[in-house]
Amino acid sequence: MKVCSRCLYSSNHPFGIVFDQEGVCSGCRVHEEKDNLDWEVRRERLSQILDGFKNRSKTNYDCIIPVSGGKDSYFVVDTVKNKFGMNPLLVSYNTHYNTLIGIRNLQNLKTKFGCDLMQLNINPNSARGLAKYTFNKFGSIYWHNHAGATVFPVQLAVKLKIPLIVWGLHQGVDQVGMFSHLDEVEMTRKYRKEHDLMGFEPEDLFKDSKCPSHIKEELKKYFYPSDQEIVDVQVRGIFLSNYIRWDSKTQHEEMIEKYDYHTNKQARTFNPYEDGHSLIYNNVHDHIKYMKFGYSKVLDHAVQEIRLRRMSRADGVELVKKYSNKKAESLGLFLSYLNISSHVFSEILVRFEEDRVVLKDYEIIESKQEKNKLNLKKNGKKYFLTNDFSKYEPIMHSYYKGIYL
Amino acid sequence: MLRQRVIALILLKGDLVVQSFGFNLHLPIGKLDIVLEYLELWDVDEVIVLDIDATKKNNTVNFDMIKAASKKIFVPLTIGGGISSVKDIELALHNGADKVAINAGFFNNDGFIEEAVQRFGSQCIVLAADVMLRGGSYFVWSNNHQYKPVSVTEWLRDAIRVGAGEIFINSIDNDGKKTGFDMDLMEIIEKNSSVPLIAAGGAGCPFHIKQLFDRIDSAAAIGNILHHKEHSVSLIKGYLVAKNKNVRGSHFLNYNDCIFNPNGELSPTEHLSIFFKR
Repeated sequence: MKVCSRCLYSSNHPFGIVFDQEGVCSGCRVHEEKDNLDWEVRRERLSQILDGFKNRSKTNYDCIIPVSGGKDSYFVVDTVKNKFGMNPLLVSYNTHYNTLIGIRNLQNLKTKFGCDLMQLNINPNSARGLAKYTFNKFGSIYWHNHAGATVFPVQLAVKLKIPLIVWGLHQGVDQVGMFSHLDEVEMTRKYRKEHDLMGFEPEDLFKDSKCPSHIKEELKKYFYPSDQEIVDVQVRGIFLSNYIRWDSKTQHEEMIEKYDYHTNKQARTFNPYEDGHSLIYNNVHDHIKYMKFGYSKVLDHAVQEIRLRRMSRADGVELVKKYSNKKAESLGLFLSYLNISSHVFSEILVRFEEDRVVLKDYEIIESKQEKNKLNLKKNGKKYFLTNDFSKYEPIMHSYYKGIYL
Repeated sequence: MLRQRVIALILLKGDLVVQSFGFNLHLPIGKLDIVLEYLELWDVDEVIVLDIDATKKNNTVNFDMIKAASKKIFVPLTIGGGISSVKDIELALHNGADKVAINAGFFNNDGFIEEAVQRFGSQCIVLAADVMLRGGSYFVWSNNHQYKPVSVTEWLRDAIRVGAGEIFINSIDNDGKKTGFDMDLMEIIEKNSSVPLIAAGGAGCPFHIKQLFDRIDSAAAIGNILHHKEHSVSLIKGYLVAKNKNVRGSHFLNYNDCIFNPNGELSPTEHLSIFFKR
């Protein structure tokens, strides 16, 4: 197992990763562009692209922005609407398992920014069936949510004939440096299949002979629009992170300040800014991910901070160690929702366990990494703010007493 | 005149598909079978898969992976990476390849090529060279500069002598720069060669491929930009057809009648909302 000599990613990263001769990973190399590129020029480029999509007849929205209320949505909407003067349609796929903070953040978003919001609510019982099926088949309880969140904006773009979708951060670029920022990579169905959906498109599962017929019916809702429809509307999805120097922490702090975005303390990571909308994302889902790949969200968050020079590598290792084995608090709740026992849960999970990074590996590399070490920034604000209100009503959440919000 | 081909050049580092910048920086893309599955849908004319680490590691490209992935496509597939004997060629052809690309293997020892041509026919032997401009003339480098460079015309003469079916020329200087193909280089090759040329290195937008096709009768191999956009190959083909280039158009993904900007990329179109239709 190879570990990057600058950040904490290792050769088992599910996206794939390349190490150069100095033992620095491709993600860190692409991250260097954040300090080397002229971001004013990049911004100008974004402005040109967005201008091209402004609807001159004023009969349609200019673009679609997929939002969840739990991540970069505030920043993306603020940038696209307020800074570049676009008229966006906000689109949200309800991933269920919502926290009250998440629901509140999403409603606050449309109110504060004055935007229309369309939300797709899949029948909760079928969502449950899908979660059960995909967990059994390839060990993922979140697949249907990834599938829905990545396809619903595209389906709407085709139906409403809105040719531009503006996404926030490109995960592949951010984590493993899949593309240079200058590549201006766009949304593709291929990326969705391989990296968002772990290699299984709904269309593939539909052909699975072992897939129960009622699940097949549900899968149809997640089908990608046909290639012909994409061609007809000329749908394109761009990523803001290719044009704006992305710094998730600072951006969130601005949003907390300006638009009263609420943070939510996370069970399995130190970063309270992201995924506060979901009871299971940085929780049961993350726990499963860790059991499968030895890879969890706290690692992504630590790497982001290390690369932006606000956290030393040693501190990062400490945090990863601290959070990786944390209990998934909502496991019991989730199992009763899925209606399976914890015994069955672990039995299924064990089938998908792979080679894991041993935390020792990080220490071994620690001694060798002097040359590639990043110096910490002097005045970077290191600590994460919190303004969550969960302490007032700790048990209220979306599956409280059988209500699915 | 034969139609000019748009060829997908897929680089592997071990089992991982990568982008390449100047033969130096490599960025991870993903799995080969998924890349091929989509290229087939996007109407690519041919595919070349090269394992750029194979020779360095004294290995060949992973034939098992090629075998599984080759089931995803129906267009001609060329395989390269560490191929240096007749036995390797046989293995490649048995595992789904239609042709093999030979670079270091030929540079090192051209003895086996003639035998391979006799056995399998020249149509399945693609001789490949990585070329660099030094002091005003072009040189072929191989295996990460391990061997002494030779002049490109000398290399070409040898390649034709041993019976190459096609010549694949990749410009090291232009690789990943998105500045367009090295026209001078490709012109030299075209002038001195009697076999079909595949030009690679530097394609950054559809216009660059038109530029190549305008001047040189060759096939265009595109690498990094394949991975950047939805329907990447069909978009390029739509532009080339619109510009009356002699290419096999994309049948199902028809972008021929779209409006393109000077780079050959799509210009945004405006649609009325369905809410306003009566």
